[in-house]
Amino acid sequence: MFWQDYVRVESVDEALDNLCRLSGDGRIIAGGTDLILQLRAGQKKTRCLMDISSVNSLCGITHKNEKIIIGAATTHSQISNSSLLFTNAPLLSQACSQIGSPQIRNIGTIGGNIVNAQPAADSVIALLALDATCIIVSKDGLRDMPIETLFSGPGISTIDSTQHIVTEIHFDTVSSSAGSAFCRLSRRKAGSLPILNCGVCLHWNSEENTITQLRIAMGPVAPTPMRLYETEKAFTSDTFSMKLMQEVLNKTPEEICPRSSLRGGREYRKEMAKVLVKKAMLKALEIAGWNNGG
Amino acid sequence: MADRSKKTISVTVNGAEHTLTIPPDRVLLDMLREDLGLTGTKRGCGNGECGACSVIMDGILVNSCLVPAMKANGSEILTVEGLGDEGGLHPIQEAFLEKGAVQCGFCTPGMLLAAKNLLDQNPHPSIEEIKKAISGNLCRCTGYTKIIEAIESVNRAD
Repeated sequence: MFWQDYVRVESVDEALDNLCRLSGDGRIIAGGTDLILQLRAGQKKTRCLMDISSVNSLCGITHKNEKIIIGAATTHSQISNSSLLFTNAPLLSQACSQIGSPQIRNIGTIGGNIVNAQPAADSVIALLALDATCIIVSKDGLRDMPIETLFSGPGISTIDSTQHIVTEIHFDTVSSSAGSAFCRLSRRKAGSLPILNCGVCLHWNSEENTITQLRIAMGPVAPTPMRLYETEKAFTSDTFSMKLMQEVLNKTPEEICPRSSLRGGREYRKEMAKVLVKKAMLKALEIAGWNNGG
Repeated sequence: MADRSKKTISVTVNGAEHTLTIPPDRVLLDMLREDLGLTGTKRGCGNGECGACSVIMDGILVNSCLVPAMKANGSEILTVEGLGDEGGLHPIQEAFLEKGAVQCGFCTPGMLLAAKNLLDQNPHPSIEEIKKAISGNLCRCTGYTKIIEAIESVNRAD
């Protein structure tokens, strides 16, 4: 048997009590689209699965004081169909609309995508660009963690699902004067993991012709989803021009360390990273009011 | 004596209520095929890639090979067996026949349910919307053209 017991909990407290009682033998499940496969393959083990997908407080999207709060058990379909997010965080809508297939998006959750810690996780790349934080609860209390701190290796999260539960994801809305974009390179339009994906959030200062508050996230170009801090710094250190764009992009491959896989070789990914960052930057700049040649 | 490791769930499948006692690691696909004998739902890849096992659970399309049966407890499931009845085929099934959208037939049950799920929400979808709706269902025979034509023709009077 892959698991001996399965409990659908009705509250976060109930889930925490159970996890505590089982001391390591219980594990949180939400959509399960990744976890079921990992349990079948023996990559993860558990005695009891604790299903949090019908806990009301973990489902839904709210907008409060320029902040967006997404319940961790909200599905990718709910996120990509949300008009609130389409307006306030379009890059996250785009990212979630490209995960897996309709069937996977209908069941798979944003919290699960984070905990599964894949370096190419589409929603995580968008959330890194949004500088999101996650609320994580355990019997020891509540922690507010920047999303960037939640990954320690490919498929390895610092969130231990035998003890911790991600409850909410928070980030600031992308204001109407800002620009954002999510771009993805994959072999097919559906059912295909990304060769590369990139999320960008930025502000444009049209008086000084400079980019301010830039965040660029990229996957899978390192063992974990990655912020391109060097590239960001280079873009914001000078007056922006297409010449600067090219100079910065030429150095971007030095900042990343992709591996070769069936989906794409290391050198190919390094070259295409330049193309994808450029595409995402131009899209975000245009939205933020930058006028090429103007 | 009852096996204490087993769990009892109730589900409504194609309008009929069932109470089943199953191992807790049963997935919905096996529950449908093995426990209820509804073999219209196909096992393709078993990994959530191909969509052959697609069913509609509480109004959403899911890969039944990835859904623990325990998760389906209390839900309403529609499988291909629930589309038509003895009185006749469902209009989507008629359209698939009419347009020649079936070759080997293995993807067809999942394809029909993906189409049903789309048409329930959007009775007159565009070609692009149809392509997106069946993007989680692989067909290795038809090249999809006939399937798309069939779905497009369902709610059009000709």
